[in-house]
Amino acid sequence: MKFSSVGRHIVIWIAIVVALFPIAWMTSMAFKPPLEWTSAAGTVSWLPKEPTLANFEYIFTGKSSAYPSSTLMERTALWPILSSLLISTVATLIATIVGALAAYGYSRHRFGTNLPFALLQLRLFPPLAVMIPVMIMWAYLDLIDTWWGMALIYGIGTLPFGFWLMLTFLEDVPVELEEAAMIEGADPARIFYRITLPLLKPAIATTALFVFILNWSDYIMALLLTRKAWVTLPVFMNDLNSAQTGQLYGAKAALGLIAIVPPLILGILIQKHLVRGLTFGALKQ
Amino acid sequence: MASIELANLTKVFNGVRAVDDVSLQVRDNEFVALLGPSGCGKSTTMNMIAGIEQPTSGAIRFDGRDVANLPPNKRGVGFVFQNYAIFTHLSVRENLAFALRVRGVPRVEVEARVAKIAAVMRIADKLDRSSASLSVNEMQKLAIGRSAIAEPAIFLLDEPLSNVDAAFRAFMRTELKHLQHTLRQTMVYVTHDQIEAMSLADRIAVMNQGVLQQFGTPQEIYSAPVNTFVANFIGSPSMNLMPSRIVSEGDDIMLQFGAAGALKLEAGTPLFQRARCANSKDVIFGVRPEDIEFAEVSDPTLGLTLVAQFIEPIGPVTTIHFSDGEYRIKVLTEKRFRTGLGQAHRLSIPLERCHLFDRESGRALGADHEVGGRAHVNA
Amino acid sequence: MSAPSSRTASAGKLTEAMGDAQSRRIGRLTTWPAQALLLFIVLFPTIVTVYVSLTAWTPLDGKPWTQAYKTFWWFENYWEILSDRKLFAALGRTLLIVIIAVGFQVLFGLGLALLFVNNFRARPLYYTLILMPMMVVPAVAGYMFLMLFQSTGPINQIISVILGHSFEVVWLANETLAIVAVIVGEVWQWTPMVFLILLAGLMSVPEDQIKAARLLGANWAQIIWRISLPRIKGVLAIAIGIRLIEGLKLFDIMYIMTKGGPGVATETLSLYIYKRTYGDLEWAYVSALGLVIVITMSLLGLALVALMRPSRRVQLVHVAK
Repeated sequence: MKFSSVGRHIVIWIAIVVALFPIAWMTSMAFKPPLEWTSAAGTVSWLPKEPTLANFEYIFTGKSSAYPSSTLMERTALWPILSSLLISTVATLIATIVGALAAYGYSRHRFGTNLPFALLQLRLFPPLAVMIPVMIMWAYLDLIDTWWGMALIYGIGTLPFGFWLMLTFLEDVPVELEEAAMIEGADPARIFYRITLPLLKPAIATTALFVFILNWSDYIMALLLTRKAWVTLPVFMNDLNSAQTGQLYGAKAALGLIAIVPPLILGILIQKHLVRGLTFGALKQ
Repeated sequence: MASIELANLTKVFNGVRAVDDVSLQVRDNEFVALLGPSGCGKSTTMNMIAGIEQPTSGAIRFDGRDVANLPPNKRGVGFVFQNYAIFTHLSVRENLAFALRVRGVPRVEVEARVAKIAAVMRIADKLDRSSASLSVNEMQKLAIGRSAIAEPAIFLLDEPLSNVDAAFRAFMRTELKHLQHTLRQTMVYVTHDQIEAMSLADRIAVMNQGVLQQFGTPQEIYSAPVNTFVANFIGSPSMNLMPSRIVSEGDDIMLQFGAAGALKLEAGTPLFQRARCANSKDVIFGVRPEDIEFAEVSDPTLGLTLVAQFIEPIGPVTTIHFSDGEYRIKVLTEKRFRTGLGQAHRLSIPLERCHLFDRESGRALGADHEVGGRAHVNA
Repeated sequence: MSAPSSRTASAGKLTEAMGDAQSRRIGRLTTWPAQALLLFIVLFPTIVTVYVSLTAWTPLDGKPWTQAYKTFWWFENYWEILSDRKLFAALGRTLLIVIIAVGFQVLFGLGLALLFVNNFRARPLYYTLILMPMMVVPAVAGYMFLMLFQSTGPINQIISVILGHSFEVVWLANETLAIVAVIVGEVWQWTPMVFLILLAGLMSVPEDQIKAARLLGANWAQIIWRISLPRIKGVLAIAIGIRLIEGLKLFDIMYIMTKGGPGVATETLSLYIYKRTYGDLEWAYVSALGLVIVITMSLLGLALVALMRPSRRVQLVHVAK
């Protein structure tokens, strides 16, 4: 296909540069010493004049030789990272397992006919519109600022994706296989473990990764439902200010870089199925 | 009106020679069938004529003009796909009008020509329906009409009748032939159905594994196959091909068939000549089931004796399978044949309608066949 | 074979094979966790919301919400919603930002998708690279653009080069420019999603039809216009619908870049709610507002499903086989 190949490549390259520029900029920021990004710097240069790991040192140890000694953090970034990891993982387990089971029950046994639409509805409104009763509930149940409280709300929040993704994958698995097993005399549990489940392994993996990315990326719910103990990475990053020097751009950039790496990698892994997840199965690639 | 010339056309995919050095010429207004089993390269060849695929080497010429640099939309060929490729989001009318609309033909003329072609294809009553709502047969007519409306000089059809039901197939065969004559087009027709090819085509190009086996009229291909592949492919049931041994007994030549018997070749007959010139004593003997008779002749040199194994009565004709353990022969007969299975019968073989092939290469033995196996029969 | 279950119009795929009773048992077993979670998040919050929305309670009172009944003032909150100018201003801003942003997302997304339809050598690599913005944590994206739009930041530097003189506008302190900055951030992050969806739609156009069109004399522009684009109407609607709904939820990027400022120039619906909740602590009012929003969005959702009926219906009917 001769489609003005050169023209096409130029336009795509412009798009790629635009797409990667902010990421690249933040990466560059992450390796700049404070001198290059505090207000003393004047105009900001593009590449670090003296690349350094000072920012990373700072966020993980609480201090750094490059930083003014007055800017000490209350806590290092390690805990929020682990917090994000734990909460996202547990939430993913909840959303994926509950969602997969329900999808199975719906697809193969037509149970819970309200589920598809109800779970879709859950994603329709702004979280803030419903946060007050959730906060009241969470406070009442002592779930505020706990990892299980966060995992629970995240799990519920991404349950629609867990359900819908697994549903579309289940539809791709022909029912004939399970029916054949039934004719052979196998009982339902065995059929599920030996036939359905193995065929669904890639689907479960894809769903889990998709849901994980969503959970990891949340900001608002963590902002509202955590205080100190279980602050997640995005929230912690934004709070990284110091009284003296204002926004700690370098440190934030370093944290930001760490924050975006997992979803980026996972996203690339499940590239092929993104359309399916994003459109609730209306489209497949 | 256009003639098509393929000159040493070759297409290689990932090291596989899908089309291997094919050369042939389609005359102006001729109906040529590309016939062969799946994977023989016939569709690829046609795709290259259309311009959908590019040859690895070789040339394609329409009326002497090389078309290699012409993109498909500029070659002026009509193409009907096996699965029609109807624009299902458009109405029947819009489908038909498509070729004209993209060329900027004025609306009034478009309307007129659409009406005309719809009448010819007998789908005029469905013009404003959604094309997705048509039956399979109607879709096929639409596909043909859609390509025909632009009155292309060359019409290419890729197994267009393989998805339609048998009754319709017979009907469409006559319609297509009629269409071709009316529009005076050169038609190239891909099929794996030899009956279709034999009944429709002026000439047939038989292909196998990318190689052109034989290019000739249906009669030529039927009665003078160039190798065992063509011999076997054409004719239903297929020709009986049996290994045999040439034995000289003095001035006579005998074909030995083991326990089934032997056949004596008369001196002076074409078969005799060919047997004499054979390179090797091991040959393959070919005779069509419909040519074999049941003989009561007592001369053992003119027939073979085998045991009936099973019978397939298909209405007016019956196919009987004979075997003697080593050889298997099918006989097609119109006579009501009553026999017990397991009974031995003598079969009379009309030698003047038989063929000899070289056992190793499969090539037919004979003076009018080119040594080399590729029959480049140029017009 | 047992008769189809009387509860539903058509049985699940395995119901007939397994028998009604057993199928029901398994169905119940596998769907109850989801139903339980759903109930958990819907039942109590709805009761609380309705209850509190009818009062004038605020946590400032010091009393727990259960005693909110003491400040019942019925539908006052709802009347207030109708006359809340700030709310409608925020809504208006949200719609403005979302519609402009989605417009650009579709423009760029479609353009890129058209370029990607025909295969070319580096396509998989370019594809992956273009998708990256979508996978960045939105909060971090907000931070990225905060940095980029600094007065001494790269965007101003680039503009300076183009204009030939120094350009050091403080984007986020200027009412109009702040909106522009936010829109840029949104478009950057979500164009890949529209691109992804539209490309999937374009590539689902049967190849044979494209070949047929070509052989009928159409050039590439005609093929796109007459064959590809008409076929992706449904897909386009889905993409736009999704981006509009997500856009209305807009919070992360806004909060981090501008916190609604300068003034209220970029205060979207979510930010407005945030301010009323955490700034003014008027929880009763926000509860009422929340309820209204939820009901509205649900109705919109129903409308969307009805719109997507061709593809969605195939979805649901497919499942009901």
